[in-house]
Amino acid sequence: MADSPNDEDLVRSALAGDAGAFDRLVERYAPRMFRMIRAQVGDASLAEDLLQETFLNAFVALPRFRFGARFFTWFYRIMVNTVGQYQRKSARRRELDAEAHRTADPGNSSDVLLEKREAREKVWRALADLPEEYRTALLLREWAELKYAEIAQILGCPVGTVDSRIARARQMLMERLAPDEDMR
Amino acid sequence: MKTCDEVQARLSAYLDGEAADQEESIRAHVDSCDACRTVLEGLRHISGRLNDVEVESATLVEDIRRRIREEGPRRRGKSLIPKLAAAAAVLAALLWGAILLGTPDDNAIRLSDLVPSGDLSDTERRILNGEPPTDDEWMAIILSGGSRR
Repeated sequence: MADSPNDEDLVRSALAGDAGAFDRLVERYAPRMFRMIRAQVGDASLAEDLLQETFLNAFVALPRFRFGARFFTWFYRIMVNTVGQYQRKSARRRELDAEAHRTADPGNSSDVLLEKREAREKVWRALADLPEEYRTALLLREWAELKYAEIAQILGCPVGTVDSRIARARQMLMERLAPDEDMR
Repeated sequence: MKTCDEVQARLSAYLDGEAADQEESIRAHVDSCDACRTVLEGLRHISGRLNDVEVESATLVEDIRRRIREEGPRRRGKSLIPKLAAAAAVLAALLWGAILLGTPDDNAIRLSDLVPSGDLSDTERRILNGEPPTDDEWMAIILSGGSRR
């Protein structure tokens, strides 16, 4: 951990021509950003496409990254813009893509795996049911592991608002995902 | 920190390490209160479930890397087109102004003046006149792949 370069060092290396440095950023942020996008759009296949677009846009915009700002904050904004633009332009196509993906999904025959998949789907559905501002604040905390002050900066709201949104989101999830439900 | 209601209202922040000034009193209350401890466990359970959600695709990272290798350099080059066009436009405007209209600044013709009004957005007009795009405008240019619409 100690010798792991921070994000900004990786950006510097990537800008100096080290292709492996941007790969490290991809490795670092792809899984958590995938989950954040998926929570927003509801479909795994679409989320993967938008994740790729997000990274491509970040790669293109990298020379305009301002050192001193936090990389994740900058990158998150690119993700929001990328997903937002897609949602505005392709609302109808998105529905069709999601439908095609659902019908093409072969599923898994193992009971245990099915159960796990079902438990995960329940979480995705519960997240989808949250008001967007609650969900975003919660996931920036849970998956991006940001502090409340950083989330407030990204969302442009007071820290107290972030605090109450996260608390409210958790309360709503507790009502939907009670501990006695199936879960592995 | 006295009542269960007060404690429970702060448990989410406590879980995140964001209730520093009340941490001791919350911990003391939770240690001695079954009801609040149950709520805290419920919050931890939710956090655990959220973090139990896996990324399903095993090729997630590799797919991104491949697309960046295949498309990244080309897209980055494409995004420079508006910038290069703006720079060329500024140069042309300066030359045009110097040759035809003399040197005083207040007489210099602006390249955007040569384009019929209505054909350019405010952003395009400003870029054409040599002003660098703002971050938000750059974002729009990048997302549009350099095309106008």
